[in-house]
Order: sequence, then structure tokens, then C-alpha cells
Amino acid sequence: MEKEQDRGVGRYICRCAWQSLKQKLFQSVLLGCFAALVAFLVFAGTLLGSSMESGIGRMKERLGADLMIVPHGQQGKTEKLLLTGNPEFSYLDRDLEQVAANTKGVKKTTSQFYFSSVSADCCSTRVQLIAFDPGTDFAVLPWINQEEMKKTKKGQVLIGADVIAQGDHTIRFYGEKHPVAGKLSRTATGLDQSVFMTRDTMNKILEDAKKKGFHFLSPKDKGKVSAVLIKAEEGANLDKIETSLLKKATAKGDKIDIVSTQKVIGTVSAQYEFFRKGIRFLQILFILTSSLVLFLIFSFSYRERKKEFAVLRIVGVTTGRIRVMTCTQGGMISLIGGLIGLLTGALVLFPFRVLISDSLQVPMITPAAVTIAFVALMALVLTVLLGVAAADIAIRTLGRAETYFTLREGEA
Amino acid sequence: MLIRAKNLVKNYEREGVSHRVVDQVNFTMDSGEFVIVKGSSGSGKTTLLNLLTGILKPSGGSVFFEGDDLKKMDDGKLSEIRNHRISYIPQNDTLLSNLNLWDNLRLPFFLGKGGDLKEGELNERLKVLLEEFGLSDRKCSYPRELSGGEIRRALIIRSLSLSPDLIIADEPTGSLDPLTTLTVMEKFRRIAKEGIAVLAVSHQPETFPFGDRLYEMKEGRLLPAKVFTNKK
Repeated sequence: MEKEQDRGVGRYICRCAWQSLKQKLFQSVLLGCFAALVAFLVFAGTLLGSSMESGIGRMKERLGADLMIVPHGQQGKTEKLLLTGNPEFSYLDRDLEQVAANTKGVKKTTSQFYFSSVSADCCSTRVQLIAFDPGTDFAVLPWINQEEMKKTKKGQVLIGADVIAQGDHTIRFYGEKHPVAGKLSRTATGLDQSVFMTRDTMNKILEDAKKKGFHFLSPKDKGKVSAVLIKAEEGANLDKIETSLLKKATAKGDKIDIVSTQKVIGTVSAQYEFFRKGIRFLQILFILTSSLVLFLIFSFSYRERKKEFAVLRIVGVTTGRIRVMTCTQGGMISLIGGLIGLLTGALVLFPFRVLISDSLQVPMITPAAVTIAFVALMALVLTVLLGVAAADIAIRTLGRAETYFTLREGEA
Repeated sequence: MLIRAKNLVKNYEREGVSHRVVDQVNFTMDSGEFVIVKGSSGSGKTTLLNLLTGILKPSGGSVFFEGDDLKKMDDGKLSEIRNHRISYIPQNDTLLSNLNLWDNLRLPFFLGKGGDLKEGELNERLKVLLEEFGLSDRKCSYPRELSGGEIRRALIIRSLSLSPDLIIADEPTGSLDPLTTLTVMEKFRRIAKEGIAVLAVSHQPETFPFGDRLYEMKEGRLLPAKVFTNKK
């Protein structure tokens, strides 16, 4: 072994393998493409699935409320708000909060007011603005650093993970700058594209909006809220609470819808499950297809190179070493293809993360760097192993031909 | 005794009929001998050479190299013998198209066992041989850039690179001009004198006198044709 190392056998084998790949450029590119496809699907598919799983997990933790009372006709829009953060606003009477609080099975209630900034010069960006009541809130406050909250003064806001503040740590709404007191951690929901504030700040911004000609509330709507959030008691029947609330609101003359966050999560989870199964199916399908294609291309390539292997046998190269040479070649091309596949996966997945999440309507949280590195490594190892195995099986199948007859093929 | 064929038989199946291509060949060679085999096409010369190198397995009989039966050797041992003990120059071009001449010549050293040679010694030896065979300026050429004659010379250089005990050559001067044919045969004569056995198949009568013994292959049988007085 030591002697072989001195002779640089490994280096020579690698050079031979590289030369063969260069000589059969079309075949090499084809092999590389299939290897890249395997790596891409394993890497991107696994990360996408993992991101969605984390996203749904965080969404479950973060939604806080079990039920939300929203104005009639706003159910779908509210669900959309939770998932994508698209600004929508309409209002209902605040006394519904008290009605809900007096309903059996309800543990806590709080109200929120939604409005939005606009895509105009007066505002930094168009985002959903959410005003909450610090006195009763149980949906936003648990996710805000209490120290940050204490520091938050009137006029200051807290921004979602995807909202970008200006260089001077402010954000401008309707011509007025608001200092950013803190940034919330990622939720993978529409809340990441929202800005949070107390009711005092909300009233200030509404006044500023009015000055700029944006009327969110008519005089008769003063004191209204966008949603009443309900936290049910442990083990309470949500359907019963929903029915009871609908009855009470109807008796009161209010038209409402009730959003069950569990149902929203259930829909999202079902979408994720469908997507996960689809990805898994595609991964298995493409791994099997690519393995077969790699094997066929290697077989074809080795059939063309039969004479080369016969020559190696004549000069005293063992069948084992010929296998090492062909496997090195298989490993090399699948490594190159695998790296290209990983790079493509990263280029597709990371910059378009939000777009993918929005179009699939499933929240996504990008895994930690160490997880990404681990998935990339696993995808690369799998791709290289597939390449090596395909090359090995192909050369073993061919190895049965006798050197003598191979050499005499094509002789006059 | 370096190599010995004992009752060597090879049959091929063609269209369901068995043909005997090598028929009860008994033959021995010692170190330093230069033996030439002549014979018409299809007489079984190439098959005999392939049996002697262990590339083909005999249908009957055995080939012994330094007393060991090739049939009983495993792939590793047989490959080792073919790598630096018995050097075979096949009839056709057996240079690898993806490697240049220099890498082709170093192929047996790197991919086989390589004998006791060091890389530096090999390189020196190859340089001398390239000079001797007029291929010094073709070191970096690929086989497609070489003429038929240059390829034959390159194959001879490759066979000599690891100082084998026996060189088996199938038509080594087949595509060479008369002058190079003479050079090659003189070279074989010289290396035989240095103690390496040479067994060559040739059609060209002008090459026969370079050998110590001349055999004729006729319908699978190896018949002594002439003994020359070249030795020593």
C-alpha cells in the first residue's frame, strides 16, 4: 500500500478518470445532469418539507387564539391574513368582546384592530398594521421581549420579521416617522409582514392617515375592532362555543363569522401533507429513474470502452482496479453533478422562499445553517453513492466478456 | 525453464460446431531465447499467444510459468505476471485513446503492480527507449496523432518498460517500414542476449533469421521449422 502511495496510483487513476470524462463530453454532461437532478430533488425537497413542518409548528404555537370573531364575510380574508399577511380590514362592535368573555368555556378574550399602510410616498411600505390591547392581549405579547415592551412608548412600533426598518430604526406611516422598538421573531405567517402597536399609537396613525385623506373609520365606526380573539378553557368544546357565540351575536343583531384557527391549521397541514407526499413520491421516482438512467449511460459508455478495459487487462491491471477506476469516474461525475444540483437548489429555494410559501399557502421557516449543511451533505453523499453504484453494476455486467474476444472485435 | 505449454488445446464453438484451434501444443522456452512462430492466417498463432499469456483459458492442457500453472492462479497473481513478468504486444493498436503517449507508456507501472521499479527509474528508462525508437518528440501526442508505425513502436516500448522476463509479440513489425523492422528485430535480438525471452509471431521471412528457433503453426499444431545459430 505504501509503495502504491509512493507511485501516486490514486492520482493516476483520478487523472485517467478525468480524461475519460473529458473525452466523452456529451455523455459526461448527461450523467452530470441526472446526478444534479437527484441532488436537487433530495436537497430542495427535504429542506422545503422541513421548512414547512417548522413553519406549521411555529404557526400552531403562535396563533394563540382558538377562535376569532370577525365581521360577516371576512372569514376567508382573515384566514388569508393569517397565512400571507395581505392587508384586509373591516370592523365589528367592541362589546362583542364582552359577549364572548361571558360565554361558557371561554377563558380569555382580547380584541385587535387591523388597518394598513399604503404604497405611497407617505409610507415606508404597505403592511398590515395591528393594534392590540396590552391589558388583555395573549396573542402578541407572549412573543414580544418584555423588556422591549416596557421600553415601547407611544408612537413606537414593533415590526414583524420580514418588515425592514429604515436606517435610523424608524418606519414611516402617513407622513410620520415611528421609532421601531423591536423586531419579532419569525412566525412564518402573515404576522411576519405586520407591524404591531398599542391602541394609543394606532389612534395617532389613524389621525395622520385622515390628514392624508385615508379614512379607515367613519364616525359611526369609532371604537370598533377588527377581530375578537378567544382563548378557550382547557378541554372546552370549540364547536359549542362557536354555536353559542353565533346565537348571541344574532340575538344582538350583529352579523359575524367565526374563524377556527385549528381549522386553518388543519387546512394548512392537509396542504402540507399533500405536498410532502408529492415531494416524497417525486424524490423516489426520480432517484429510481436517475439510477436506471445512470446505469444505462454507464453501461453504454463502458460497452464503447470495452477495448480500453481489455487493454488494461493485457498490461496486468486487475479486475478490481478496473472497478476502482470506473467507480472513481462514476463518483467524480456524480460529485460534480451533485454540487451543481445543490447550488441550483439553494438558488431556487432561498431567494424565492417567500414566493414559494405564498403560492403554496403553507408557512415556511428556513432551518438552521447546520441543518441545511447536513441535508446538503446527505444529498451529496446519496448522489455520489448512486453514481458509484451505477458505475460499479455497469462494469460488473460488462466484466463477463473475455478480453481476447474483445480485442479481436473489429479485426479483419 | 521459463515457460512451458503442455498438451495445450483450445476449442471454439462456431455456429454450434466445435473447432480445435490449438491442438496438443507442447513447447518450452528458456530465458534469453528468441523464438519466432510463422503460419498462415487462421492457423491459431494468436490464440496460442493468448493462451501463453493467460488471457485465454485452455480447453485442455496447461501453461506453466516458472513451474506454476497459470490455470490455477487467481486474478491478482495472473495480472501481476502479465504486468511485469510476461509482456504482451497484441496485433492491434492497444494504446488508450484518452491518454497521451507518455501516460500510455507509464500505464502498466501505475495501474499494475509495477515490479520493483521506482518512478524516476521508469521515467529514465522510457526516455532512453523513446530516443532509441525515434519517438522522443511524440511524448505528448495522443494515439490518434500517431502513425501505424509509431503506434507499433510505442507498444514495443511499453512492453519493455518494466523489464519483463518474457516478451510475447504478435506481428510486432507488421506495419513497419523495412528499416524500422530491422531496428525492432535487432532490438529484440539484443534484449534476448540480455536474458529476456522473446516469442514473436511474424509473416515476414526477413525477420526469421533474427530468432534462435523458428516454428510453424499449421492447423493448430506447432511444428519446429528451423534452428538458427544466433544464440550468444
